[in-house]
Amino acid sequence: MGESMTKTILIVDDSPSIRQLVGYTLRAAGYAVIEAANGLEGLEQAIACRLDLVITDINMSMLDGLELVQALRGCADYARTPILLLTTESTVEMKRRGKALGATGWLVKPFDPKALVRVVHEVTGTAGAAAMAAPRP
Amino acid sequence: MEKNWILGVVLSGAGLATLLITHEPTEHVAAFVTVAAGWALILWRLETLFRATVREVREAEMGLVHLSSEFHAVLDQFTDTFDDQFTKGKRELGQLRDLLRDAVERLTRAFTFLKEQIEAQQGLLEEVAGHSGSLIRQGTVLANVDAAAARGEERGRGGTALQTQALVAEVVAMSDRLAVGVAELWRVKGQLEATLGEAVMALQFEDITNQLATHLVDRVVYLEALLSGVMKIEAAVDVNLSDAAAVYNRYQDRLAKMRQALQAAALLVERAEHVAVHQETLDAGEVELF
Repeated sequence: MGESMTKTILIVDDSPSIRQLVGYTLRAAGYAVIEAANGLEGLEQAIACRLDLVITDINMSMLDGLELVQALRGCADYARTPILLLTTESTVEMKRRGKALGATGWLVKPFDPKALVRVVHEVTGTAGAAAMAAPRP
Repeated sequence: MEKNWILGVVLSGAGLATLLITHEPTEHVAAFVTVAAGWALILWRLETLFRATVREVREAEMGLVHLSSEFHAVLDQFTDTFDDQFTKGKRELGQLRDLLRDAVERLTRAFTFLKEQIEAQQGLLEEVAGHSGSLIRQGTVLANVDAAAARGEERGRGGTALQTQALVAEVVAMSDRLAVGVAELWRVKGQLEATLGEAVMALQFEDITNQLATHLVDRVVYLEALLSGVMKIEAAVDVNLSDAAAVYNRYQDRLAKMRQALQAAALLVERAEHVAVHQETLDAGEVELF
């Protein structure tokens, strides 16, 4: 659990329930989670904190998820930070745009908590942390 | 053309006047010829007028036919758009209903399971606590016997190796039962985690249905824009139907307004047509790493 505790994840979604559910899932897996309600807020948080992963929705006011990916990829600090898009959108065209802008992966809502934790472990390089966080007899 | 008409009337008049005032047969003939020429000119003029009127009527008819066909094309466009939007809206309402139903079923299932497990856990915890208590008591007895044996008091207290063996066997059995109870607690914990995972998925219905409902509102706003355009057109029409030119102008005006309404509504079509939610159930969505 020690390694994952140091990782900070930003969840950007205009839905409070999704922010809460992602936060609940990732905190239970040992990550520190901060939240933002739209892309602009997310960008401000990313500038203020050093993040290890950004998970963002697409359809939001102010700055949408794809614009946020583009803005973050434009910052030297976030050129290589994993960014996951968590959205209801699932068309090939949208995925192609996300990939072209530099997103690391695409998760279609509703997310399975186990699958989310697995992907987060994978992209943040904390594989095995879950087993440490929840030891079994 | 007008001159022919006047000349015809003048000639006829002059011919008739000559007939009335002259008595010479030769002059009568000339007068008749003059009258005939005058009437010929009048008839020719009438015939020309008739042809022109027929041509104008035909042209007006052609114009109305063309206008009518354009009118029908625009009406078809309205009808097709309404039909398309209503069909999509109806399907999306069904999708919304199915998602909500799915969410309610999943959450009810999770709630029922959690309620049952809380009740079952009570018994299991009591059982494990009972085993633990017995194990501690027997362990204490065993320790006392062991201590007495060490002090060589077993005979005085009636302690025997047989007693010790029986106690050890009992402790081992209780320990096994405790291990079974603890394993059961872990199994239940796993089930509870799985149920919580199901609940987390089901609770995402709020975001998904909210997006779908917002999209449906966009579709309704688009339909409203189309309908209000049509309603404004009807309210603006007020002409005398017996006036053909006014009727023609009325329909031309109505056609232009319908086109304007379609153009204005077209500004909203992008939002109405952008469907972000394709989920039919709350099953887990796909995951793809680039």
